[in-house]
Amino acid sequence: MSSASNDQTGDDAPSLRYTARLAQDIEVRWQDRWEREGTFEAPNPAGPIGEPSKVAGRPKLFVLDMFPYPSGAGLHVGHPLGYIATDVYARFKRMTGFNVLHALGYDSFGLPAEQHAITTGVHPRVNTESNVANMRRQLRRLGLGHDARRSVSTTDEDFYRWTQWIFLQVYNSWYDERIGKARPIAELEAAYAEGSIDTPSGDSWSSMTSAQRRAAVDARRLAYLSHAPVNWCPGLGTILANEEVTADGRSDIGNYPVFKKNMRQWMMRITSYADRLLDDLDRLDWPEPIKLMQRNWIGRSEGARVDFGSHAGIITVFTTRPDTLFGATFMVLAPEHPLVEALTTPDNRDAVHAYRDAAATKDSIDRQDETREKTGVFTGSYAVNPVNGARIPVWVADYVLMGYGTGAIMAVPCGDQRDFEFARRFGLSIPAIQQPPSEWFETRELPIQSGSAVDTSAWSEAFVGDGAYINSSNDGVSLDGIASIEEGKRLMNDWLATNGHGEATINFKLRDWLFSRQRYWGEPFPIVYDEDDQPVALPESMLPVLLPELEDFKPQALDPNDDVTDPFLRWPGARSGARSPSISVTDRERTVVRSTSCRSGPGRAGTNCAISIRPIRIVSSMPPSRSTGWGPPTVATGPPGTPVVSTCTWVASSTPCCIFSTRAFGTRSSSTSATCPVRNHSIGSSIRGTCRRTRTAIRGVKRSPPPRSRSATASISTTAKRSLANTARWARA
Amino acid sequence: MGKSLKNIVTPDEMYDEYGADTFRLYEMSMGPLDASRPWNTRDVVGMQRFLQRVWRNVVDESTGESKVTDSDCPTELRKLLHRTIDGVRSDMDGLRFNTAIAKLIELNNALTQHVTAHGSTPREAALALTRMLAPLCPHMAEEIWNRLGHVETITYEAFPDADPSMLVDDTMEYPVQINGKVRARIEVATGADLATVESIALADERVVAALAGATPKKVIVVPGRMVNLVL
Repeated sequence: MSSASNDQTGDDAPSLRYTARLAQDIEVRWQDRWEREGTFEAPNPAGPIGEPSKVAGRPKLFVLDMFPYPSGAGLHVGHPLGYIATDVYARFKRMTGFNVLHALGYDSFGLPAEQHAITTGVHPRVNTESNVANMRRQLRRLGLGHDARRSVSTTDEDFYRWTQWIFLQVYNSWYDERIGKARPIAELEAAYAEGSIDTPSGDSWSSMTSAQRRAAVDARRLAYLSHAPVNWCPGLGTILANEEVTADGRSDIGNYPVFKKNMRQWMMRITSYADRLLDDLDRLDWPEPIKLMQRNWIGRSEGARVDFGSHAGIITVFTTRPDTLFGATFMVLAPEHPLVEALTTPDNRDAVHAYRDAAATKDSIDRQDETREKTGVFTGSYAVNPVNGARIPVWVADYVLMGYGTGAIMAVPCGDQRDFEFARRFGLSIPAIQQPPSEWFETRELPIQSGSAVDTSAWSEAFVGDGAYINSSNDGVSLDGIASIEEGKRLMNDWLATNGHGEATINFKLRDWLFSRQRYWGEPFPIVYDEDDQPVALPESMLPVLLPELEDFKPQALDPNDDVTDPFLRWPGARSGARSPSISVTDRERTVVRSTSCRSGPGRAGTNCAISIRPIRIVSSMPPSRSTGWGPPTVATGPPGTPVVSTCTWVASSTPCCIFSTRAFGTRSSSTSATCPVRNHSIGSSIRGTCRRTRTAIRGVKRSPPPRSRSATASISTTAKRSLANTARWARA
Repeated sequence: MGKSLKNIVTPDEMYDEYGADTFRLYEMSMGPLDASRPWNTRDVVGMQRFLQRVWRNVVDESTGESKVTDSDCPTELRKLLHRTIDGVRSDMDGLRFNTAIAKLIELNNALTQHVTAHGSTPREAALALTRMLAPLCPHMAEEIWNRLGHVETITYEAFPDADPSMLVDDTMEYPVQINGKVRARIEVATGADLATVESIALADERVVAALAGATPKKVIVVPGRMVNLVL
C-alpha cells in the first residue's frame, strides 16, 4: 500500500484539511453518536413489541445482506462491496421516507472454523467468537447503518432452534403434485389409506407392515435420508463440498485423498419444486443472464424414458431424442450404476473394477469435460434395443453420471459426434437413420447415397443436422420419410408407451440438495434414531437440540486411504459401538441415539438457513405468530451462481422484494452484482422463490411455536449473552 | 491482488490510510456493481481528493469557519444543482452509485469554481450536496450538516427534490454534420420545431462556408440530437 496520504498529513498542512487523520476523527465520533442514540434502530411496524408511533406511517423496507463467515483473517477488501452498496441504498431509502431495517448476522458454523480449531487445539466456539468480535469492529468502522440489536450468529442456540424448527416443518411435509403444494405428513398417510395416492410399491396401505408404511411415507418426505455419493475424506473424517476438493481429487485442507462414497445423508427434495422454480423465473425482474444461470441449473429437458432389456434386468435410460432409437447401437452406464456388477462378465471384471476405481477419484466436472478423450470399458454383456430387437453392447464410461438422468444412456453414433467417436474407437456399428443432404456428401467428397443405401463406413464424422428419417421402421411404427423431429419424437413416444417400453418424460438437471455433514461444529439435526436405526423427529417442544459441549471435538480421522470405515463422532450417545441413549423421547418407550450428522454445508447450508430464518429471529425468541410486522426481506444479497436452494429467504408472496447479489461474494477479482429495482411481486429469485414455495408448501402444517429456551443462560457464550441482553433491553424498550 | 496471493488490502488499512468515507466512495465508484473491477489504489486517492474539495468548499481549512453564506446561487449553478439532484435520485434508486458519484463530482467541480470566483458557497447548494452525499459518505455528511447548524442526525433528513422548472434548458446545442463530419454547432431554443432548427443550421456561417454555395440533397434533423446535411 502506498503512503498516498503523506502529502496531506505533513506538518505544513492546514489544521483542518480533510486528511485521513481528520476523517478518522470525524468518523469515529459519528459512529459513537449513532450507537449512543440508536440511530439505525428500526421500530417494529406491528405486533406486541411494535412501535407504530415511531413508524409514523412510513412504508417498511427490509434490506438484508448475505451473512459473512467470521474468518480469522477478518474482512478483506472484497467483503465491503456488497455491504456498502446495501448501506448506501438503505440510507437513501431512509431519506426518502422509508422505515428501513438493515441488519447483519454471522454465519459462524462450518468447516473452516472447525478445521482451524483442530489445527490449534482451541475450541471452535472460542475462535468463532473472537472472529465475530473482530468483524463486528471492522464493519462498525465502515459506518454501516445496521440495527445492532438484531444481529445474530448462526451458532446462537436461540438462532439455530429456528433452523431446527424449519427442518421439522420440512421433514414433516410432503409435496402433493396434484395441487403443487406441500402438505402435512399425516395427510399423506390418509391419502395412502384412502387410495387417492398410490404407494411407491403399489401395495395397498392396509396390507402393508408398519416398516413398509414407514418407507412409503419417507419416500415422499421433503427432507429424507438417502444413500448419496459424497466426497468422503477419511483423513479429515468428513465429507467435503466439491469446492473443498482439489483437481487431483484431494482435500484442499490437509491434502488427503478424497473418495466418492455412498453414505447416508440428509437430502432436501427440492426436485419436487423444479417446475415451479423454473416457471416463476418468468415473474422475476432480474437481469437475464442471472435468470439464464438459474434455468441452466434447473436444466429442464423433455424426452422419454426407454427400457432396454438385459440378462441382469431392465436398463432404463432417459433420452431427449427418442426418435433416434433405431440408431442406438450401444449403451453406456455410469461406473456407479447398480447394474454394472451384474452385467460384468468374469472376463471383463478386472478391467471394469479398475475403471470404476479410477472414476471414483474424479469429480463430475472433470468427467463431463468435452475436450477430454472418452474412455470406457466393455462389460461383456448385451442389452436389447426394444425398437428392433438388436443386441447392443453395454459399456461403462465415466462421462455418464449417476446423478443425472438414470445413470445410463443409449448411444446413437450416426447423429452424435461423441458417440460416433466412441463407436469408431471401439469398432461398434453405425447405422444411418437420417438422410444427409447432397451437399453434405459433396463437401466431404463422399458418394451421394440415399435411404437404405446410406453407408456410414466411409464417414469421418457424424451427421449432425436435420434430415428425413431413414432405416427407422418396425412393424408398429415407421418414421421413414418424416422430416419433422417433433413428429418423430411424438410417434416414438406413442410407440414406447403403447408397447410398454417407456414413455414421454421430463428430466431435470436439478438434484436434491444434500445438507448434512459428519462434523461437530454445526447445528444438530433434531433427529434421533430408534433401535431399527430409523430417524425419529424430536417434538418442537424439545427445541433447541443443543450442540453438546465436547472436550474432544475432533472428527474421528481415519487412515487417509481407508475408504471403507464409516465416520462417527465422539459425542455422548452418538452411534459409536455401544449405543447409549442421550435423549429419551418421552412419548415413546425406546432407546434412541443422537445423529453423527450436523447440518452445516456443504454448499453454505448454514448461511442459507441463516438467511431463511432471519425474519423470525428478528423477533428474538418470539414465535412466528407474534409478528413484528417486518415480514421477509425486501432487498437481499446472495450469490446468483450458487445452487438453487442455497440462498433462500423466506419470502411471502405479498411482499415486494428484490435481490441485490454479488457473484463470487466478497472476492475482489470478480465482485459482481445483479440488481433490480424494488418492485411488487418480483420475488427474490428462483433461489428465494424456493423457500417462498417451501413456506407456501408447509402452509397446511400446524405451526406450534418452539418454546423459549428452558435454561438459556446455563452454558451460553458471551456473544449469546450479549445478544440476549440486547434482546431484553429491546423488549423492554 | 487476491486472497490466494496473500497481497490483499484489508479494510483496516483503508481506514488508516484514507478513512471509511473515502473507502466507501471508492468501492461504489469503481463501475457498475455487476462489472468486474480491478483494485486501483490511485483511484482511492482520487476519491479522497474529491472529498477534500467538498470539505474545502464548506469549511475553511485553516480557521474551521464555514464558507457557506446566504449569497445568491447563480442560475447556471442552480440548474446544474437540480439536474444533479434529478440524476442522483434516479441513480440511487437504480443502484447505479458510480454514475451518481460522477454527477456529484461534476457538481462539486462547478461549486469549486464558484468558490474560487466568489469566495463562498451558496447555502442551498451546500445543503443539497451534503444531503446527496449522506448515503455514500455519511460521516462527512453528518459533520458538514452539523457545522451548518443542524442538531439532529442527517440520517432522516429528506433527500433533495429537483425542481422540474430547473430541469428545462432554455437553449440546446445541435451539432451540424455535413456528409458525416461535424462542421458546426448551433444554439437552438429548446422545443424549437424541426423547420426552425433546419433554417438556423442552414443560416450558420460555418455551415454556409462549408457548403460553399452547394444545396444539400437532404437535410435530416434528429430532434434533440443533431442536424445532418447530405450533399
